[in-house]
Amino acid sequence: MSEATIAVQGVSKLFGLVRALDEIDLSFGPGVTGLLGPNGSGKSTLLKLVSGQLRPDTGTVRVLGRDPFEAATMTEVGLCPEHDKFYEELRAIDFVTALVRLHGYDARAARQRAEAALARVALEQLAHKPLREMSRGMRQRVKIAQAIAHEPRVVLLDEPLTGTDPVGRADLIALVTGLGNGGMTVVVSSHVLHEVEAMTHRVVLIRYGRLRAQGNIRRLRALLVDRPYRVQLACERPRELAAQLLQLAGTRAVAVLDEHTIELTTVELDAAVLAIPAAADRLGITLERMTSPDADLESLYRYLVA
Amino acid sequence: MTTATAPPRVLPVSQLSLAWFWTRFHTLRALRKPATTLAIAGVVVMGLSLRVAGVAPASGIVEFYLTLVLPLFAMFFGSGGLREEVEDQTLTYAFVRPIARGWVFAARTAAAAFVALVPVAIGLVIAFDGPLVLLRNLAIAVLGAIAYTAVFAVVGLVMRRPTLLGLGIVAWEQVVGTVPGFLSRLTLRAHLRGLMELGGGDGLLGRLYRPPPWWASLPTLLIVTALVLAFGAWWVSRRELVVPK
Repeated sequence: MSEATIAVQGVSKLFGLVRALDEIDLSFGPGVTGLLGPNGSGKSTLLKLVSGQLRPDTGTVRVLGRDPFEAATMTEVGLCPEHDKFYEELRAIDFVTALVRLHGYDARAARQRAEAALARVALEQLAHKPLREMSRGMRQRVKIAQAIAHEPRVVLLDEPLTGTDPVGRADLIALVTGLGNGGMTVVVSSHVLHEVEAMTHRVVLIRYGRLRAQGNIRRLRALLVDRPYRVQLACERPRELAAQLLQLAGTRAVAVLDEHTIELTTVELDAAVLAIPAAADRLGITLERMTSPDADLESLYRYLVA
Repeated sequence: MTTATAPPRVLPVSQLSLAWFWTRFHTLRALRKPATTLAIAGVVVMGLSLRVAGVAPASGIVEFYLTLVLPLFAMFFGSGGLREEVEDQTLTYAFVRPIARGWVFAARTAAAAFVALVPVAIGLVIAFDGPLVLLRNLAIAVLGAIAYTAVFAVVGLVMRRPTLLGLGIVAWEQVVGTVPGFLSRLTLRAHLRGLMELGGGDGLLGRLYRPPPWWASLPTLLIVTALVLAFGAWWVSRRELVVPK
């Protein structure tokens, strides 16, 4: 039995007449979970509720069994907010140190933690640079550093990769993955699906403030039986292989797209992935490429949200 | 799925200690801003000019700083403090820490009071008229700075555009603060004058004006300050201080 570090039960949140969240029930446990949804779906509202910035109109939010609106709960929470706001005149090291001191550490311990956190986001060389002189990507890293410097058990990252360059993005993805593997509960909100997929296979999808799906990407995709997978194959003699593939269990359709490409439509992806190479082998056909454009997070997102 | 309920790690540090750190942090931030330095320098130069030119007696300079400069600076720094952090969205960083929201408000108010106190304290030194008088005036300035800043901090909390109401309060204080009768007792200015044992001046109304006795003014100021601070802390601890998208 796994433990939920964050439990959201029957939560609704209204802003005037706009229902930002509508009777949401979900939970997050240790590891990385991707929080997905289009703009205005309620992702940031959910993170604000979990980080105690907002209160639910109905339902309850618990972080480690406590009300996140209580200050003591925040001992175990780190938040990287979406907005690009800082005490601009400060240097990165002073900004992070000051916030760590609000966790009760003395000046020396806070400084050490701030230095270590900035090193984890690869900013140790720029720690003494004023925040106002930093690029958007650097500032994102500072926000992540202040969220993890006190080693919380729950880390909430709202669009953490915004503005980062490709190398920095890969570093941050590795960092987030490492936090999850280390036992932290990490919730990452993002629009960039392949980045979320690089961090985790566990996702929560919300739209119009409602929970659309929660769980492992592949398992969620497999539940969509009315949405068969397409598998595209590049090979020689595609018509011969196509005739064989029609015999496979789960096959809905086979189309020869051109002289080298077949598209198989199946409801049993795992079985097809094993059977296709065997069928090609029996016919003496070499498979040059096999891809499934419907098995990734983007297709799941497209079906459930878009 | 069960819910993890392990108690959070809490370092042996009191909320007061965290608030004291946050007060110092924001005081230094404010004092390092060029606009603050300029404003302080301006009123200090004004006091020096009055003193050197001999235009006003020492007691007049003290009155100028305690009953005019102090409320203006308290309004300027007090009403902006937490409101600016809400608008700038930097308040998020303090609210996701284990410091109670009421203490965050108290710390920001104390920082603003300290900044408002700086030019007044310098002004009181300029108006030096003996060490005991200076000490008494400094104590009154501390009390006045906290009282005024608390009032303006609450105005800044509850009003989206606090400047107009703030200026209205300053004007009310200036106009009504020396009017004979009970009405003046509804101003902080009258009670500060009561502590300084200042009369109403040489005009007709001034001669009729009687300042409240110090033994009434002191508890009045303390009680008003405590009530306003408590209200502000309660307000901050109950409200969602987030800028909607």
